[in-house]
Amino acid sequence: MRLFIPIIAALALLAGPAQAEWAPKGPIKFWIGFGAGGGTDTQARALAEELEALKGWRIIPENKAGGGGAVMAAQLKNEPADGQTLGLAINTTFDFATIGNENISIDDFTYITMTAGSQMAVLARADSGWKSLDDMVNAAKSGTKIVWANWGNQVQAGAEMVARHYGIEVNHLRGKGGKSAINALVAKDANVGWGGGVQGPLVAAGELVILASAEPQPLVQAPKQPTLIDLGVMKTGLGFQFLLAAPKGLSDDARDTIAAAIHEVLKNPETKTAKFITKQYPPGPLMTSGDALTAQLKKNLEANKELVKLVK
Amino acid sequence: MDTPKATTSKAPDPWDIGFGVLVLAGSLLAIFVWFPADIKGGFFNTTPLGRIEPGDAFFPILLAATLGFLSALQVAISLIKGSPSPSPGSLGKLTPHNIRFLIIFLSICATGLLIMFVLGPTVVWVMRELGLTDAEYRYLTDTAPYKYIGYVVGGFLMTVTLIAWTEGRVRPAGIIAVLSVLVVAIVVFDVLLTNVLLPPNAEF
Amino acid sequence: MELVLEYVIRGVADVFTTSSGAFDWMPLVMVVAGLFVGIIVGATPGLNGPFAMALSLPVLIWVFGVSDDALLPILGFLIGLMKGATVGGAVPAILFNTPGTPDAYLTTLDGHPMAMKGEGPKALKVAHFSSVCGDTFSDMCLFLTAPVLAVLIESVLDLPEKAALIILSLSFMAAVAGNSPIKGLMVGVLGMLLALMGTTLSGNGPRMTFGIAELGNGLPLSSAILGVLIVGEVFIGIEEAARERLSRDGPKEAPALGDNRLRLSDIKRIMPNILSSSVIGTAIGALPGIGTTLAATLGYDFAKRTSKTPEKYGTGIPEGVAATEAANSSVSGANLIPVMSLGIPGNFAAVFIILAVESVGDFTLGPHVFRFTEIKVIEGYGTIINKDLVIAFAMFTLMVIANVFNWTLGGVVMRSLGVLARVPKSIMLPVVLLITLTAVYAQDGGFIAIWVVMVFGLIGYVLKRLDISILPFVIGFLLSPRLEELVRGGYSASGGDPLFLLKSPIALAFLLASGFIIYFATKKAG
Repeated sequence: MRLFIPIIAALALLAGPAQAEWAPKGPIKFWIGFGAGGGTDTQARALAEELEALKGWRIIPENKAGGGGAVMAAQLKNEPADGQTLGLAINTTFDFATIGNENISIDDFTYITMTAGSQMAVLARADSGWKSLDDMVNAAKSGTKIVWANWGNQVQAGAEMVARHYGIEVNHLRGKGGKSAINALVAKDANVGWGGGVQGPLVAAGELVILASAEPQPLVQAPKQPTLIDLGVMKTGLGFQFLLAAPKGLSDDARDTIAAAIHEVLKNPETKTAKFITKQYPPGPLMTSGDALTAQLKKNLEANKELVKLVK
Repeated sequence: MDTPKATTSKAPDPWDIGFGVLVLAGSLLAIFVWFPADIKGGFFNTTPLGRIEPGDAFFPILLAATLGFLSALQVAISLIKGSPSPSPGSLGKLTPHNIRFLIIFLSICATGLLIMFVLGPTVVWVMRELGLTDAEYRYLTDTAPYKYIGYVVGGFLMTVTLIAWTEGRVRPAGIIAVLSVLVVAIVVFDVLLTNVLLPPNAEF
Repeated sequence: MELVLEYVIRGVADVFTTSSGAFDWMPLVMVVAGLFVGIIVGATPGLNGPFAMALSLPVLIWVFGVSDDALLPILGFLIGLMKGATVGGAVPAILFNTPGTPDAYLTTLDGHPMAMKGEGPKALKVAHFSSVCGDTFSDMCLFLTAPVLAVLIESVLDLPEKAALIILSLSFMAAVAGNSPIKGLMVGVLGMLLALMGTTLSGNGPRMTFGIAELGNGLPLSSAILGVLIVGEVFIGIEEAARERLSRDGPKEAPALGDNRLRLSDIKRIMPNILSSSVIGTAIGALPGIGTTLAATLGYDFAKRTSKTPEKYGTGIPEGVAATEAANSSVSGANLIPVMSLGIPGNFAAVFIILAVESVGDFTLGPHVFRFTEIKVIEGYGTIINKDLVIAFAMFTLMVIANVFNWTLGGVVMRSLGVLARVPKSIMLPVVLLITLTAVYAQDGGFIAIWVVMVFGLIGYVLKRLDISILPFVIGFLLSPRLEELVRGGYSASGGDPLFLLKSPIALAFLLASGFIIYFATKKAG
């Protein structure tokens, strides 16, 4: 870990004239694109606390919920790009919600680093006896009423795509937050549900089973189950990654210093943040950052634009 | 409470009719000007799978139309049957006294809040011009005494002025009460609660 | 049955333990603190329960945070406050003939003459005893009715029916308050419209925000409600304090005291009145939109009419005090029946309970609360359980605790508060305004919250001056997002039938009832 900062410093030396490591001149406003009490909020507040302890920067977290992070992003855009207003949201805030949006565009922001990624799964209760998506489809075709728990438009559309692909009827049950879908499933209000990562311990305990992965790759907990892409249901995954952004024009120096500090927290398995991420979003923290992150988001954006065109 | 029971309905009251007309105009304005400009989704939406669903404008338009209908109904009833008499103890309108009160009251509040908002940054700007500091207010929003200047001075002036205005004089009791509330607020919102900023510091 | 018991036990245990299992004394302390503060608030002219609940909510949130562990201490305080304020309201009414709240006005009729006869402390004891009796009775009805009603409603009502039920409650509220039911309904719809600002269900970006990015998630809920309910009252209070400046006369000297013990024979004498008033108060409390004032009036009237010596009422008899105090106190518990079984608040105190629940933890009120999910423990995840139900029982436990303290210590506190009647409104109200502005700034993040509080305060002021009920506005504002989901969902589920609300007989009946209520109320008012 100690090696990491010198590397960044060396990169900075290569990039420009020699200077001291970037440091904030005052408090950092750390905006959270989701409501208080949820998974994003827990992660963000732990990160803010540990970053503050690690670097001695004063960090003040604040929730700005709405529009899947887009409400926060629209305000973040207008802040000074001095590294003292940062926003934590998810990739779709920038590479999906920006499509056709007059308020925000992908170029309005400097992308600092990812922190974690989802394990998006199609779930059922173990006592349903279903082992695969086909089992569920067959049950539906023989008259079982499918109630599919979700928490938002994007995943509900995903459930619709599964229904259309297999020619079955699906009833949607909308809840607030990722955990609500799991609760509905367990409480038998629904018999299928989306899970973004919270399902981990329940799957491990054998209470729930994963029928399919909605990530581009199979899930850590069910490496044998196919992805919805493999099954031909959809062309892109429904998964998401958490990421930290700042207004556009943030200096590379500041961007890389902040990213390095966050990586230091994430790489230490003893930190609250790393523990939370490993438990909720296995296998563990994601640390794509800087230009690589920006390039990935831009690639996603192009793919998403294609998707939107297809749908229209 | 034991005001004599008001007489039964009388001629249409201008405040009663005025309220209805205003709401009617407002709801029409909402449907034809505000919503088209400020709601991106349509009355109906087509889902990715081709199903037609109510869109973002569906419920607002429904409500505004209901509002327009109700206000038209209210105006019509009042014109035909006369306005309902106000409940005991109420006049059912804003008197010139009420309006005068509102103007003074809101001016005091607005002035106090304006001072609260601009005083800190202004002090820092003056200090920078004088060469006493090279920082900007944005970087001092968590530094005493700068973070307290606007809140304490603006809040004090606003509250003490309101008390003095209602009492017709300035009493030490009022000033002491306001100062102690400011101290308590700073202790609660700034010292005990570390992740909260006092007004106006979240703004910069 | 075993499952029900298990949930009740967990609910009780939840009050005394943190989420990590340690003993937690906080909720208990907060109930007692809330109760005492409530009695003080009730005894202070110019302050009342909902007012104090509104003010303490943001402070409580910032002290305890918004985690699940914070919910019970916060709810405990609010419940204590609600109960204390009903008891405390009798103090100034009896001792100084200055009712702090409209419903305490009827307490002055017999309470103050008793005080003039030198029976002030006895009148306070009667008031306290009747008040706590009424309150406890009301709570019992809540505990028994809410779960049954909720289960019934969940099984019978679907989307269109629930939508129609919200419309019916709003019509009812519009009809019972203010001078014009149609205007009440109009501001209810207006409140609904304003609540639609901000994010949308379809993800098309914010709507109706005038391009203000800070409004992207809608008007901040607590700022808007605090504004219209509390700051509007502060506007009015300051105006009246300024007007009353010259016409102030202090309370009179208390007369010499006689025998002030409350004997068993006294209790026997007033018990019938307490019972009848408790039933009246509870029934009224369970209906949305009708306040404590009507309960007190009806309770007093009923006692007087059924008395063998009606002419004695108003001369200072304990029966009069008992009848009003039992009636207005039994409203508060029953008020939570529509909240807990339908998610529809019927009065201001319930609005703040809802607001607390919306802001803290992931608990929501409504009929789903009383679903008895099977309990299972999963390693590493926690327990699978209907957490809402546990919290509902914990809430009931808090109410019982509040009642116990109210029975035992409430009377003592209450009888020691005569001095509070002298706190000047002219200082209290501007200070309240300053605290409110600071608290919403901290809670809702920025000056936008302050502007919203002030604008909604102005709305509250104007509505009050125009004699239009504020309650439908607030309830409309609170329930609008849910009604939109129900209407959109119901419309889609019906396959795009524009008349879907009229296809269900129950929904149709609700809508017809709304129409009739408004029609007859308008006719009566006209």
